[in-house]
Amino acid sequence: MKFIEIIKYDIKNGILRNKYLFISVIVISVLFVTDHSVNMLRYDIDCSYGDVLMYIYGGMKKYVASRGNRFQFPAIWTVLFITQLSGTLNYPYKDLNSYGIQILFRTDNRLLWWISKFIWNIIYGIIYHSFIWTVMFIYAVISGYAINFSIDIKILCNIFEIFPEDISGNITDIPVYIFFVPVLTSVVFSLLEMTVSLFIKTVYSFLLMSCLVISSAYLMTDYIIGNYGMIIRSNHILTDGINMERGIIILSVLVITAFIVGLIKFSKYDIINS
Amino acid sequence: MKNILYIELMKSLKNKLFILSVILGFGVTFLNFLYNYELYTTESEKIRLYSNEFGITYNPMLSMNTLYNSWVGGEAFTLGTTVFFFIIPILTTIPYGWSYCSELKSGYVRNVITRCGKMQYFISKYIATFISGGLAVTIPLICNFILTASFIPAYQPQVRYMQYYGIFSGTFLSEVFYQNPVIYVLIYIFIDFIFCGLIACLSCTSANIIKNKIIAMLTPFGVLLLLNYISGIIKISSNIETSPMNFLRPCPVACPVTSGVIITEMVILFIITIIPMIIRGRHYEIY
Repeated sequence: MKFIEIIKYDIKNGILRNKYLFISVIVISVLFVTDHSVNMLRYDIDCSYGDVLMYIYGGMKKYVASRGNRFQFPAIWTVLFITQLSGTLNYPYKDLNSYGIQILFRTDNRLLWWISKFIWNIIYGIIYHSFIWTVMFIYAVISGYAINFSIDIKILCNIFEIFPEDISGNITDIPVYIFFVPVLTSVVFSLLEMTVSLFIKTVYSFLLMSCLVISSAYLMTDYIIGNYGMIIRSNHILTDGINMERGIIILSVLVITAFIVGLIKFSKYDIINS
Repeated sequence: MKNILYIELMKSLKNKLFILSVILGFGVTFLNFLYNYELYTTESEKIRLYSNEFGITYNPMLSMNTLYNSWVGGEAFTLGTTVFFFIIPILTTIPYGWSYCSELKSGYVRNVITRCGKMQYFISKYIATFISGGLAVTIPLICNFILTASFIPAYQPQVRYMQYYGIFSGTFLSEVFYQNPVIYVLIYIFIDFIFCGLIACLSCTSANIIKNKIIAMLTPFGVLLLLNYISGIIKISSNIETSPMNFLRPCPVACPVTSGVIITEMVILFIITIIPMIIRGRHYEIY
């Protein structure tokens, strides 16, 4: 069995025939658009496509724990990440209990199965975010927003409740790649979830990732990867922000680590009693 | 009915996953205890130093840090509290939320209902899921309250320090909190029990539509997360909390909740969870 056929099968069954992906993306896109338009009614400012993306991928400012400052997790950002995590949770497990086991017997090569699931997971994440980006693009065009990646400092300060003095330099010229880091972060979350689910049950793997997502919002540190998924915490926006360049390196290392660890575990995995 | 209910209850409460769920919940709330105990000792030490400095024998500021704003439900600023109330929908479904879906799929249901009756089975399953879900959350809450009470004194909350408790004049049951804080805690634990039971039963509702037990287990989490998001949009126009993820916390996170919202959501959740089970109980065919 050729490798390309395995990937084709995964794309067909895990993405194209995946009703959850399309339903979830449509539902959350509608919610994001409604939320953004309701929020923008409060400000008489011209928005851009970059502002819309920032609204969704921004996350939240640094949380300083104190009795008077009660923690509220960033709802939009959390929904965005958790929806993707729940979408990629079940397919590898389901495949391993159905047709996937046939592939493993016929190819006699566990590496191909694992690579295929890895690629499927990455494609799923890219399609998921591309869909949201496209819906937001259409929304921006219809609303008459400027189609560029510039960010309005007033919107930023109002929505994320940050002070202008905390913002670093000229944010209208922030590098465009910053908008892609959250996509990479969510893909890494999904890959980690898939790898961890080889060690513990899928539900616990999801639970662990959910805790990681919420902890990322709570703690602003380089060590919790969810921080790279929040554009607002980037060093291009906040003076004491997270170094996104370093983040990309860390995320890339994690992708490789997840692949290798998963492969080692899967090579000895009991697929009959999985 | 008695027999099948007893069997279902035993299955739901005497299983490893129920114990695991309680341990997980307690483990997370333990983080809250560690942080708050540390905070209490350092702040109390400061207050004592002030007292000694000025020769005061009685210091009313001690009420700033009390059991009622140090247990997991009493504050909303530590990581333990945040994570615990965030994962509640998953904790409720771990013990028994998977069971109904699994038994429908495996054909176990057919064997049981020939012996005990359709309605009896579905209602017993509902009750067992409800109780296990409710207990999976309230046991860690009660344990955390007892643990915190063992180390932090239960000073009566003072209205003048309301900013330290996060319970203001417009907050739901604020009078009860300042007059009878233990009753306030008990009422909230009861509300949490009912809600968590109903949230766990949402997995049964989803199991009637979705045949996958993992998705059925995670549906309540997805529903609550979406409700939380929609609640955020509603909050822009009305200053009322409608998200169960927030109002299940005895210490309000942002806006206050009203009894009307709690009762309405409770009734809606009850209807959407019980009706599918009754329909199943009446119309389920073995063949």
